[in-house]
Amino acid sequence: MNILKIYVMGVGGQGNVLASKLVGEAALEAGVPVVLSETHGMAQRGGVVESTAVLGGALSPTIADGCADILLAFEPLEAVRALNKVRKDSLIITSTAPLKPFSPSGDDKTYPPVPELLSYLNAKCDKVLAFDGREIALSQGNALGLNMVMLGALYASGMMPIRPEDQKKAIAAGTREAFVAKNLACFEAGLHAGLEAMKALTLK
Amino acid sequence: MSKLLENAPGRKALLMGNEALVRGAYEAGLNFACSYPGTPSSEVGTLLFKLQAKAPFRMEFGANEKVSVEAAAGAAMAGLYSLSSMKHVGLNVAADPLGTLSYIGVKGALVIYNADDPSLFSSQNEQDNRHYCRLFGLPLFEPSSAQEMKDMTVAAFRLSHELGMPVMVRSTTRVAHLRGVVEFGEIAEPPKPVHVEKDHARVTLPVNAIRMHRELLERLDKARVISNASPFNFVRGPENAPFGIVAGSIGYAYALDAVTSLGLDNQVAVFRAGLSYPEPDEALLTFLRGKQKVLVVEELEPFMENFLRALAQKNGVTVEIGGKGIAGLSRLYEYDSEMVREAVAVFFGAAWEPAECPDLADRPKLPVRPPNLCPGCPHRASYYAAKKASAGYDMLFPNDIGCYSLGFGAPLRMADTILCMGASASLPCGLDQATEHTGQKILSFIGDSTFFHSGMTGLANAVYNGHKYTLVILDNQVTAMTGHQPSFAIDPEGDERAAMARLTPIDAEAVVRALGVQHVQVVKPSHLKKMEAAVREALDYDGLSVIIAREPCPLHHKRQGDGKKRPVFAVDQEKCDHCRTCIKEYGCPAFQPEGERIAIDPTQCSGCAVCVQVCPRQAIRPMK
Repeated sequence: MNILKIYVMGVGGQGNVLASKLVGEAALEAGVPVVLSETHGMAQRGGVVESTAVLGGALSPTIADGCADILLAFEPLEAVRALNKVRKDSLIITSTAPLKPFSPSGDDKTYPPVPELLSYLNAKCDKVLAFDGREIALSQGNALGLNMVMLGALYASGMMPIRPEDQKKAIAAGTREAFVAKNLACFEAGLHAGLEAMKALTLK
Repeated sequence: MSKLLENAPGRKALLMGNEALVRGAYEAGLNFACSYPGTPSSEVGTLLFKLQAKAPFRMEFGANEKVSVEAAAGAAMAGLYSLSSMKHVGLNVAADPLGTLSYIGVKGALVIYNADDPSLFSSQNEQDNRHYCRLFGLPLFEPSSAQEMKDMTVAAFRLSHELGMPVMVRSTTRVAHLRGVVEFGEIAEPPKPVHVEKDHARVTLPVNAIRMHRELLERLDKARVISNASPFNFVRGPENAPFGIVAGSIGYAYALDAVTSLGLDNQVAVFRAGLSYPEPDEALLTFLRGKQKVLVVEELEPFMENFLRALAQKNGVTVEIGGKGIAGLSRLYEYDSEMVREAVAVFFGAAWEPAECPDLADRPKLPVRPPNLCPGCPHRASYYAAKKASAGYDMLFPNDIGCYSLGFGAPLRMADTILCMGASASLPCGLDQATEHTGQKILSFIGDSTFFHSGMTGLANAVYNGHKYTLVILDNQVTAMTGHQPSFAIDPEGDERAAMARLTPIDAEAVVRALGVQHVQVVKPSHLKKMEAAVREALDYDGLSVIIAREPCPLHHKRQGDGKKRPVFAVDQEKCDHCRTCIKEYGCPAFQPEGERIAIDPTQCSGCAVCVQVCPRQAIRPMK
């Protein structure tokens, strides 16, 4: 089995760790060797959160610079921040909705314009799937569903050794009961958005 | 029921390293656990505390690590199986009992779970606590995966009972917080409590202790025999390989991946040191003999590397040993897979291409996301008020360890020193040797949990020796930073867990007064004027004073779902003149500039209303 290294990058509160954990649960269910890691020291207090999912039999849970096959970013600034993790031929999947960090100077110009961030990603990496994941989550009536949208888009890559059905089972078993239907809707919507973005990428 | 308690041998579950350790303790027959939380070990205590209602063990949060180890030692002396978990610097606090407990030994079993933090993800240093095992004589397990966290914990309990001595399981942040598949084993019945027999031969007066040191070394000799034959110490790869790697902890995962990806499987054998102290000397000697080169892959200190060098020298084995200094392997920070791959390739002369990272020299400057006090955090109000009230004085603000350390960040900048748990109450007792002469004033900050951990003794010292400063106890009635474990100051009205009959909250005010502090004020810091007045009064007082700034942690209450939804606030754009006091001085992250304008993010606003008192234009009001 090929080793697939997925680096998940986001901001505290976006549900990043849950997303990679659900990939792990689906992998366990599908019999795919998996190891995960997370760095979330002060996530609750607005910091950057990173997690990893390494599928296919490697033992190392971390992903070194230049070693991520997929960068799954929940926020465009954080996608650019994590660019050291990818290669030219890696796949980047990012939400385009910005989450501005608190600026104690009171200046809002420190956050680069989103189009600039996206073109930078495209300049460094051949395959970039970008869409507004927050908007998609809201359209499914699930303001907290960004992580499920991004998880869906991961399955549009064609690189996952797990079937979307197994992932959906893991979502149904691993998220709060009241949210399962909405989470699955977000997953589907994310998968759809990802597939559309993939199509656009192939046409390019 | 939590899957961690399922009686399902053979079942496979995806567990975090710390969860796997909890499962291992449960399988081993745990009776009692006592811990003080500390990242990256915290989940262990939190989980045990939560699971105890449906499990045969009891878990308590101890006042600090020393007390926790002593309580766990008591249970183990009484013949029970006990556990104490802590972060690496917590073991410094517990070092006193551990250093002598290893002489006394245990009847049941005592496992110390110690989590180191290479790369200092959430710590003030990155000391390598394997050294404590050599210093005190504690057998040491170093798991590298979730499965090993579980299996080695079970083995640690068995070894502890077999040899009658405390045993350490040592992880790192990476191992504690990785997740992997764990296969469950059988669950053993915890030992039944029996009459505690007196054993005067084990009372550590010098007359006994002089003998007990010898007995400790004898136990360690037995442990070394076990270590040499341990299934956790094994060789992977061809026996006659010319090259070898000795790897511990997560280094084992990196080393194996490196050997495989470099295609060196036929040339490099890997010695897995899982029960690494007492070192399996004979097994390692056999491994070294016949090897041309051996690389040691271990994070932080050259613990195993130096042992191997000595072992080779003593036995006249001429093998080239490498470790620290090979490629990027150093005593600093955690390793990663590429760093180890490069070192393996460089040391054994294999072809190696570095990963192709994109050239990011032209990357736009990215704003950082430093962690911040939460919106609605009462500590922010305390800091803001204290800063205002002390303007005009030449101030020093010693700070301590907890959420409130985040007061270090702009714009508050209210942490001038951070040393260790409790030091903000004791550092002033020496700082004042200078400040008495310079006219500087000292206002210290400490959280309630940290105060009960080790601030009380510092304060007692200040009373006794007549020091003059002000200690602000930021009393949010919970150990917030590590995940809201109950603190001794917990508010029984506000926390359902405190309803558990055995928890008796302790009022910090009564403690402070009993210690002899004459000037004590209790304030709700979200009333900024009152908090400011309290600070002014304390600074004017000629003596030692304490302010208890008491207000519950809103994040904790929100998680508990206390039902009260407070209205959020908004900026009246007609009144706002964009002075940015709310951002540049108060620093609440719910405030977001949009060009000239300032807005409040309603999803972040907690409704604390402190900003209403901060705004000089009265431009903040409840959102309609």
